[in-house]
Amino acid sequence: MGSFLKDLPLAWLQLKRQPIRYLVAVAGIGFAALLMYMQIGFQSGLLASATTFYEALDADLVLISPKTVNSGNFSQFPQSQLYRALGYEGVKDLVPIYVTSLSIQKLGGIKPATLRLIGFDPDARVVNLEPVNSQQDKLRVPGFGLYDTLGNNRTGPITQAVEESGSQYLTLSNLTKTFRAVGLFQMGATFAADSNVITSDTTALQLSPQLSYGDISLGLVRVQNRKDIPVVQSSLQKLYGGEIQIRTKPELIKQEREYWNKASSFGIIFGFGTFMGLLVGGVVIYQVLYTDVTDHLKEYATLKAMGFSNTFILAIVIQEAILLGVSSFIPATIVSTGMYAFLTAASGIRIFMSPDKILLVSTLIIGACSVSAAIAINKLRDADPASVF
Amino acid sequence: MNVIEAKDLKHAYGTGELRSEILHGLDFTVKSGEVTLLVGPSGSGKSTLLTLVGALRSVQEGSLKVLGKELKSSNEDIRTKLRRRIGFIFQSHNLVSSLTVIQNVMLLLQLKYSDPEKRRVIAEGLLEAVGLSHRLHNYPDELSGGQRQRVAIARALAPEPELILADEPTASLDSKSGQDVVELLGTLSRERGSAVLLVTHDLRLLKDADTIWRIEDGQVALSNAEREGAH
Repeated sequence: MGSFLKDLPLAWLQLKRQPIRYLVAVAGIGFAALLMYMQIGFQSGLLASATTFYEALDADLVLISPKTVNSGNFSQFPQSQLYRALGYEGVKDLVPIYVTSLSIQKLGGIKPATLRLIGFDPDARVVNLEPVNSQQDKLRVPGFGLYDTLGNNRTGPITQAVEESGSQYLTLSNLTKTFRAVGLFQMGATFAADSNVITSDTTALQLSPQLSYGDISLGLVRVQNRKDIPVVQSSLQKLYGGEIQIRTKPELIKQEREYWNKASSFGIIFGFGTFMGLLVGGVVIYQVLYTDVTDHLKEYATLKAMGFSNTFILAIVIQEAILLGVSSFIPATIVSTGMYAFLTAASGIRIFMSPDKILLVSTLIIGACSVSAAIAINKLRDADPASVF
Repeated sequence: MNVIEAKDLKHAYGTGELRSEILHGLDFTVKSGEVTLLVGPSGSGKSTLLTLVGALRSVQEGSLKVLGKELKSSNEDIRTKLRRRIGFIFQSHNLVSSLTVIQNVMLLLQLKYSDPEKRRVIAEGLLEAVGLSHRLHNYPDELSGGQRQRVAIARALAPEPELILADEPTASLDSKSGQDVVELLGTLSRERGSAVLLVTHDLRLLKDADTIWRIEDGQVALSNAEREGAH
C-alpha cells in the first residue's frame, strides 16, 4: 500500500487535476496561516518589546514599586529606600534609575512622538549594552543624551541626523526645553514609546516634570557573589516587607510577560485572533475536503467495491489534508517573514520569524487539517460499494 | 466447476410494513469460464443479485457461494478479500477521473503486485489488447464512451479475476461500440479463463452467451431457448 501511494499518489493527483480549486484552497488556508502568524508575531513583538529594557539591565536584583504594573508606566519610590539595602551583607553596589515617558516634536515636523526616558548616574554601569557603556562619558554634560536607533519613524530622521553631524537637538512637544542626542544605541521601540533616550539622572530630572529628585523608578542591586542572590533577595524582602518588590531579572521579565499575557487584554485579543485564524483555516480545509470527498464519492465506492480497504480511502483524504496544509503553510511562512520585516521597519517593534513560531503555526495548521479530515471522513460512510450497480 | 451457486436466495429491503422482498428464493449457478447473461425487466432484482454475488451486500436468507466462499453470515473483511478476486465492469465505467488510462488499470493491480514495473507491463499489455495503446496517458474525460468502457474492461481483467461481473456495460454505447465491447469482453475473459456474469437489457448480446438466465419478479429460470431464438 505504501509503495503504491508513493508510485501513484492518488491524493496529489486528485488535487492536481483541479488546479483552480486547489489554488483557491491553498490561498484560503494560507491566509488563515498568515493571520495566525500576524497575531502570534504581534504578541511576541509586544512581549519582546516590553521586556527588552529589563533584559538589558546589568543587575542581580531589581527593586521596583508594587504599584508598577508594567514597564510602560513606572511608579516612583523614595531613593532612600534603596540605600537601606546598602548595609546588608552580600550587597555590592546599588544604582538608582529614573524612567518616564517624554513627548518630543518629530524631527522635521510638529507631530509629537513619545520617547522612553531612562536616566541614571553616568559613572554607574546600568545596562549590558556596549554602545551605551562606551558613550556614557558624554552623558556627564547636562542636556546630552543617547538615542535608540531601533525606534520607529514617527520620531523623524534622528538617527540619520546624529550619524551625519554627530548630534541633533530635540525639542519637547510643549516647546519648553531642548536636549541633544549625541550618540546612538539599540534597544527597540515599545507599544507605549516610539523610541528610547538615555540621559544622566540630572538631565532626566531637568527634562521631565513627572520626575522628582529622590523618587526613583527602579533600583539595581548587584551582589558580591552571584550564588548569594537568593539569600540577599530573601533578606531584602524581609527588610522592605510589602513596600518594595525585590525581583531577580528573570522574575521581573516573567512578571512583565504575565501582565501583558494575562492581566492586560492584549493576550486575550491576540489569542482570539490566532483562534480565529485557526477557525478560518479549519473551515476552509473542511470545505475543500468535504467537497472533494462528495465529488469523488462514486469513485471511492467503486474502489471499495473492487476490494480496496476503508483504510486506503481514508489515507487518500488524510493525505489530501496534509498536502493542503503543507502547500499552504510554506508560502504563508515566506510571506509572513516579509510582513514581519515590513512591520518591524514601520513600527520599531521587533517581530521576526523564529522556529517556535513556525512550529506553533505548523502544529495548528496540521491540527486543523486533521480535525477537518476527521469530520470530512464521516462523509465516506456514504460511499456504499453496493451503490455502484 | 461452479463459480456461483445460489440456493433459495432471498433478499428484501425495508422493515415492517415497508418491507419489500426483491428476490424470492433464487436457485442458479454460473460455471467457470462461461459467459452468462442475466436478463430481465427493470425492477426484477438483477442489480440486487449482482450486488450480492459481488459480495457488496450481506446475504439475508438462503445460501450464496461465490468462488467457493459462503457469503451467508460473512463479515466485511471476508467480502473485501473476495471482491479482490472479482472483476467489476459498471454501466458508467466508474473510472477514477484524476488518473490517466494506464494509471486506472495499474491502480487495481497494486492489490496484487508490489513491483510497479510489473504493474506497468501488465497494464500496457491489457490496454494494447483492448486497442488503447495510443491512449495510455489520456484522462477518462478525453475518451469516447466506448473507449472508457474498454479501459474498464482492461481494469477489470488486470488482476486476472476468476469472475467478472458486468452491469449493463453497453447501456451508454451505440450498438456498434456495444457489440465490440461485449465481443472483446467475451474473447479476453475466455482467453484468461474468467467466468462472466453480464446483466443486460440488450437482447442482441444473447448470441454471445454460453448460458442465459432470465429473472422476473425475483425468480430466475434457465432460458437457453431465448438464446437459440436470438441465433
